[in-house]
Amino acid sequence: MGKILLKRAVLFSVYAFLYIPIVVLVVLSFNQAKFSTRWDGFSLVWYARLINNSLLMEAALNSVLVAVSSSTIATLLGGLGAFSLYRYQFTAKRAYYGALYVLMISPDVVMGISLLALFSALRMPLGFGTLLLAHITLSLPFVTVVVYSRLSGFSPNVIEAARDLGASESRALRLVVLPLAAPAVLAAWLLSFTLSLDDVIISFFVTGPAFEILPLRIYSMVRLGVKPDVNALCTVMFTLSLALVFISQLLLKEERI
Amino acid sequence: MEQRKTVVALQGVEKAYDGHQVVHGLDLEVQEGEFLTLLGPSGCGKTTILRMIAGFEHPGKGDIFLGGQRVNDVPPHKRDVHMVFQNYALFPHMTVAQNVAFGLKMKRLPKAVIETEVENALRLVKLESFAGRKPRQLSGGQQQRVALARALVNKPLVLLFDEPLNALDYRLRKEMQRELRHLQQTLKATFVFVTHDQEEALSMSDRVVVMREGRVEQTGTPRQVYEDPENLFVASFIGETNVLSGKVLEIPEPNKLKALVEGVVCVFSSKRRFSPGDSIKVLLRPEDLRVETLAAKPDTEGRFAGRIVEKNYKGATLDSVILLDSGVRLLASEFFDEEDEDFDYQLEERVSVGWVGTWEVVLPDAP
Repeated sequence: MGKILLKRAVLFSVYAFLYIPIVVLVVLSFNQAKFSTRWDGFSLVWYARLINNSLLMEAALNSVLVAVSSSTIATLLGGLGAFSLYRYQFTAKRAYYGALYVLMISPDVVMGISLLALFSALRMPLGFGTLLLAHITLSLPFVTVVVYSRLSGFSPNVIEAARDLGASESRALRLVVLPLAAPAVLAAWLLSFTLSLDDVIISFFVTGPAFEILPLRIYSMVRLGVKPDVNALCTVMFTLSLALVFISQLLLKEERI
Repeated sequence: MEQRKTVVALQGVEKAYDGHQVVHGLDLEVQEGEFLTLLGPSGCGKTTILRMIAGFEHPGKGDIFLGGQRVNDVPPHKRDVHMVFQNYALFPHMTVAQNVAFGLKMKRLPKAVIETEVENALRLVKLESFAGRKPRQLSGGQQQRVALARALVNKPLVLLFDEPLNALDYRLRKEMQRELRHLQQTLKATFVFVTHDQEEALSMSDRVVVMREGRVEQTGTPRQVYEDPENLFVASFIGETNVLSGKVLEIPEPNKLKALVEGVVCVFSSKRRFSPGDSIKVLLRPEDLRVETLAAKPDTEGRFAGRIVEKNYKGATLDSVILLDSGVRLLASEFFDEEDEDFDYQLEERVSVGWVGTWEVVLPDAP
């Protein structure tokens, strides 16, 4: 009996440790008090302040712009990559696939610095362009792996069957492969979107002062102390990311044959 | 018999992967309305041949003709052949009806025509009530039927089957074999079937092509390849067989030979020509052997003497293994005789083994 209680207590405290900060942040974002330690009653004042903060809104807009374009491009490229891995046999196929994982596990700092070195070697001005390229690089392996793992659950013979039944390669792609891959493609897009939206480290290295994005804006705001409007902002971002990841997981759960 | 059209013809077809030759100079003709089976162990090139006919593989050398047209460079979607895949390869996101309609849609037929054709095809494979289901909601046997209907509905010149029954259990497999044969005969369709299962090949086909390592070993009716195998490989691949070695002693009359086999002088009949001194292999099917106990038949003239070392009750037959005095093992498979209710042997019992005269196959002992 005591053993079970102990187990439960350990489990509870681990989860509490993980989640209490987030819960506190969310709760405080609705706190009317200016100094976050005292509860002064429910209020949406910080959310209103958020909307009226033009600097913050501009950064948010920039973030969404980068996230939408980088995830769209990464999904296109990664999706094609996944398709070639699925459809064609070529030399060093496994090496190509393995290289994606290397990219996925390589620390963000390393990626950020190496990209910065590349951009400055090419004399590219830091800003939207460089940030976009960096975020595509960041998302690409995730997209490829997500789409490929869905496709590899289907027999490659389905394409041959379509071809055999009179479909050209492009029709087979459109009528068979695309519908099969669709949930994974959408999930991959959502995943890239959150990756791009949340990224601080890589973005820190590769964007310039002219193009500020939300995570970096927050970062500079909290250097002068955490204000309640940051809490509100983080709550919005947290909810958005959670929703996107949730949707993408739902899409991927769809049964396969 | 009427002269039938040749639907598929392969002439001197060769195929190699990375320098490894999979198919050697193959000539093959499939007649209209024929059920032809390519039979051989895995890796003998039979699936590659099928894939070359379908257009998924390009022959390195030689020509492939479909309905008299050379199709070497015609892509798969422009060939009037359809394939039933080993794992069915149904489209998981489409319903049964949509799967079956796929080929007709590719031909851009009118909707009404597609609907009736799909309905007919589903009735043919007894799945009319499953039209709205997704493939994953069907059993393996049902999926198999959908794959069949999806290919049949297009009325191709020839239907190709790549070991499609492998995944089914024994009973379902037998049932599908009968059904396939029945369908093929009612539709007068041309089927090319690939399998490594000799029983399947014998029971369904009009003609069997026995293959080994990319070469044809023998082509013939199931009866020809079973009863008159051209070589040791065919004999031992198709059904069980006992192989005995011997030497020709003399040729007493045409089509007969006297030989010393396992220490016994026997007379065999064979249409092949032999001369005294030739080394030979004698093939005896287990079901052609006749075993007698020494107690019942003490005369062992021209028979092999030995003792029973194993017996397996098989229901319809009694299979026994006889260890000959020369050290060779023979497998005999005998039907139960209704007149002899006590028909059985004791282990270690002394017996002599004969065979049904003229049913033996004598081959020259060449590698």
